[in-house]
Amino acid sequence: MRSMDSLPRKIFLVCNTVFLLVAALVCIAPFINLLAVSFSDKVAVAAGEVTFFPVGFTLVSYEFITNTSKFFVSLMISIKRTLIGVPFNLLLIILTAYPLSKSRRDFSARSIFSWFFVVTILFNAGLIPTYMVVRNTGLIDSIWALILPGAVPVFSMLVVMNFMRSLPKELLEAAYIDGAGHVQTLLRVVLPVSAPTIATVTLFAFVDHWNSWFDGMIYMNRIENYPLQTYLQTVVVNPEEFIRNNTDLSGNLSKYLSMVSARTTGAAQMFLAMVPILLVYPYLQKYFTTGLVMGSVKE
Amino acid sequence: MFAARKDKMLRELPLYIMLIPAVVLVFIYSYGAMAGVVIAFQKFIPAKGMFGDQQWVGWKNFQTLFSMPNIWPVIRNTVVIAFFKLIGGVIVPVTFALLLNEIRNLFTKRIFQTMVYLPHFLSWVILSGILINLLSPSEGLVNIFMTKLGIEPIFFLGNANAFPATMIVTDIWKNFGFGSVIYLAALTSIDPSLYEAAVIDGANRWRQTWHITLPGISAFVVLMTVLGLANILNGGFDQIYNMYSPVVYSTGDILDTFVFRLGIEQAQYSLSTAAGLFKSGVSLVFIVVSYYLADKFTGYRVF
Amino acid sequence: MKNRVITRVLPLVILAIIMVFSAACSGNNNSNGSDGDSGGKPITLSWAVQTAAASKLLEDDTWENNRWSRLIKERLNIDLKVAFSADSSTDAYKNKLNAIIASGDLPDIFKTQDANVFLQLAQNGQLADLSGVFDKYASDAVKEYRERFADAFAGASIDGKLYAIPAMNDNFHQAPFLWIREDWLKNTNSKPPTTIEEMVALAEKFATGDPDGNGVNGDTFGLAINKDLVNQNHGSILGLVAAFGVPGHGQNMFYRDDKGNMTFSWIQPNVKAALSLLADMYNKGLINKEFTAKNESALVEDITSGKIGMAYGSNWGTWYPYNNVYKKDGVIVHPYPIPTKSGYDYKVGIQSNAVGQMTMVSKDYKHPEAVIQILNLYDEVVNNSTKEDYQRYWADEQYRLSPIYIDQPGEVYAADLQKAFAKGSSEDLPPAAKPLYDYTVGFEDGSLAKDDNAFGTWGQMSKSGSLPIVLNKYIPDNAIVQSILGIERPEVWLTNVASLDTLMITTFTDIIMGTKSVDSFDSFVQQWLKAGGQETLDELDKMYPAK
Repeated sequence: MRSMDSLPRKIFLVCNTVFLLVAALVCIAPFINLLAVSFSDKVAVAAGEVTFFPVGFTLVSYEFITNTSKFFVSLMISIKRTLIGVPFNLLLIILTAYPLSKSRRDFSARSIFSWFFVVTILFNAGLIPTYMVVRNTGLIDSIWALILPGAVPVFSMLVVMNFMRSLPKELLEAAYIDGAGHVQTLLRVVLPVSAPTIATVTLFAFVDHWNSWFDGMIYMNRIENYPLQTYLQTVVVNPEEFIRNNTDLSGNLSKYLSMVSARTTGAAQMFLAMVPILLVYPYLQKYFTTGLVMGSVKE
Repeated sequence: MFAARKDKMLRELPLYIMLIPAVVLVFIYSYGAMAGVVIAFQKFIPAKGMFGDQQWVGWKNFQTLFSMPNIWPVIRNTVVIAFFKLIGGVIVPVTFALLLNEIRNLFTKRIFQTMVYLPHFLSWVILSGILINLLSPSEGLVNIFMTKLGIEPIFFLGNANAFPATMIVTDIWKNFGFGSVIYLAALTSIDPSLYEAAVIDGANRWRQTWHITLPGISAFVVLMTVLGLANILNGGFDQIYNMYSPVVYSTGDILDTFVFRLGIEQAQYSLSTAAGLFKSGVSLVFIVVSYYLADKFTGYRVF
Repeated sequence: MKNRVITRVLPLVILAIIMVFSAACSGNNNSNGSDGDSGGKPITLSWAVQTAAASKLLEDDTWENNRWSRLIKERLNIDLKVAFSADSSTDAYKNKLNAIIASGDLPDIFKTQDANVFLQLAQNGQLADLSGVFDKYASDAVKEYRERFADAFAGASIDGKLYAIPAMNDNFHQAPFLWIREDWLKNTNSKPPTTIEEMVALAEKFATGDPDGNGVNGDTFGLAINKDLVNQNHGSILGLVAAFGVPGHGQNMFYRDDKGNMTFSWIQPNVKAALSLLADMYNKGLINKEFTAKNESALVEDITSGKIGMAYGSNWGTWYPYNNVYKKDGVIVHPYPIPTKSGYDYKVGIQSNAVGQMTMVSKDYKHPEAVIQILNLYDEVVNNSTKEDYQRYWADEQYRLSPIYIDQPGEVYAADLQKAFAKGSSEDLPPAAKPLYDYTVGFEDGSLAKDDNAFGTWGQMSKSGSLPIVLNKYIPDNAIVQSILGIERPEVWLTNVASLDTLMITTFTDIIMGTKSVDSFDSFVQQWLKAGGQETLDELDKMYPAK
């Protein structure tokens, strides 16, 4: 096939690759800078001396963050909530997307339910009402507070629903003719070909669980129950926010200010947060390349 | 006829059952919390308790909000910035996905995909520090590069005309990799035999893209656009808050930063809930309208 | 058929509604720790823990079980219980506390820095009136604090009732200073400026000359300012406007002028002259051109990389941000009294003493006297006991482990420290001041030359430090003006402060950059007054009547 490419096509392919390479490098540049900063001496960073290589190589920032047992406790909690939460999400996504992917003919009430879910993306009453509901359902300080409130990621569900809708009708009809009910159809026919989209929403769910910090902050009363990101927020003090929240302590401010984190600690925190995702993504990528194999449908 | 109805019910029954867990959870945690929007109609004082004796003020919070000086420029800024972010936020990821799809070497493809994915995870706090340096008129790389090309340096973050564009472009850059994931997955759902047939018919790659690929992912493009409208009044608080300044308020101050400054002196829950409710209401209108437009013009119900 | 659907879904719906509302009405109230009386049974006290990056738990201490909780149990038979903990260096604690308050789960004792939270709770009868138990149970030593910090206690009282134990603070240390790099002064053969004209001349030398000695002219800044302009941080314009008799301080500087009328710092006519000077300096390139994009932390890089040599700032410069300059280049940035302008009496603005962190007790708590007892214990152990006790219970941020402490910043001891330095010994100092003495002396004699805490303290307390400037110059010159704005704020102000502030900062920025003429200041004042400013002044006049 390759030797049959026309010249314009070849030029295009080369230009395309170069273009994408440049784009990829531009994207990775801040990340490399961040990595270098996290391993650098904080005074050098404050002077703006670090570009892509560490200056005054040191592991101090990482030590600072990982040094307490609290770090590992919160890490475990994050792992736990992700391992429970992501399958939970997937289960609910699939169970919800499938019925909603049916046409009106097959499922008369589908539009009502769709809108039921879509509306929740739009309306958010804010911190206090959300806290009240979680409290009143007894989830404060429980790991389920990190799982149940966001258990149905509507956006992901809609993506999967649309994907299922786009499956060729022949596929489903074949199953129906074979006497499969909805459950069977879902399990035997729809799920296997939905791998790319399921991989996509798995990624989203994973990223969400791993990165979320706000829920841990609000729903956990004890620090021992904080997931990783919530814990890291307490360790890495952002000067702007810090000063904004503490100007009333103006007298004590000087002592507090010595608490303000160097950018190095902030960078280390960011990098730590990203590592698992960088491991999971390539693994999920291989599912993006499987697709429909039309030959499986027998007329 | 009754038998047919009963038959239909029985067939649909498993579908209803499948929906139960999600419906219950969403009802409790999303709708249950949604009831709290009543705060927007009260003079809410946390000390009185959520269900306590709060004073009802009807539409007063909205009146206060909308009679503040600068509210209308703020809303305009929000819509302009959010709108272009939405458009760019669909076009760029789609284009990228299409271009990446042309790469044949699987390994290269995956590497590029992973690399462009990274900016999404950088927080705006950190990125703003980098951008302030990068975009500095005197020493930032971008302007140095521009001066070499003979272009006047631009104070991207300090010029009210340049600021919104800067916010839009940097946001698109940050998120296009992440956004393209959906389209890359969608591309795999297109039947390969369609391409084979097209090649036989003599169509070149452009025609294939135009007639097969784009229609194949159009459902997702429409979905992402419509859902993106849910954010029509979200200009991007974190980003703008970390990089704006009084010089660019006239074009860069958005609803969320505006409301945020309102809240600094006290917990102005009533006003911020009112602003939130306003945002939600507008988003709802946009979504409903685009839903029906999509239905009317393409016969496709987005959800 | 539709009915069948409804009858399937409806029960679930009803069930869910019942669940939510029954839980809501059950009214969780686990904050009452009342099973105890003086007859030997322990009293329970639940408290809200503010964690901060600085808070350290040493040895095997946890927030539930630590040296303070054990001490309190042993000496007072009180069991401490942690109601919740949240980070106070971010918005976390604030948000969490508000959520807890709205849900009615008030802990027995908790703190806030938010004046409105305190006010609302007090007005809604949620706080215990501590006046009675304070009078009855406070030790003499503790009662002295009430005398010394009368302003603070008055701020925590409403209608004569004490609703909180306040932060015991005296804000004299909030005054601004002019910070200059010592090497740049030397390299340009300059002396620290005492007048505004001298300051401008120095800025010109810095901006156009080669003060950093790298052979390049003009790559350094003259006077550095940050985009916030009026916040009390480094790179503000507060020190400059002060020279023109305007006691600016943040966005809340309300005070009575010489004629006794309630006024606001930023509408003073003299502001115009100050802005005119700044506009002139900016025009001539004596101010960092890109200040509009730089908040204080963005300036840090310019400071550390050696571009900034002169800026107005607060007393804690050697703690932050000039600590980096010392670490990197061994160069000290010194604080100097603000240069004055002839024809004007300089005035520096500081916050009211009535505002600060409040420690409050829930109305439902059955043993408010326990709180006072802990306060007594704290004072006894930390301030009036042995050095070991002090080390164990106060040093290293251990004081945070106590649910209530004497909230007093080290700056308060500046005067005492000056006396001790003159004497050459720290023996008469209160225990809290002793480490500060040690740090300062240690830095000066070189033994602690590399210690961050020593450098920071030295920059505040030593003879050439910032705080003595206030004691020896600003105060005797009668230059200090204090804001009257306490806990109570007019409704019209709360609603309009954000837009008034925006108006102010955009006008000032535009004038400095030259986009608007200096005369637009006059129309700004008119707008400010019309948009709620005048109403605010009238309300404040009533709220805080002249004495």
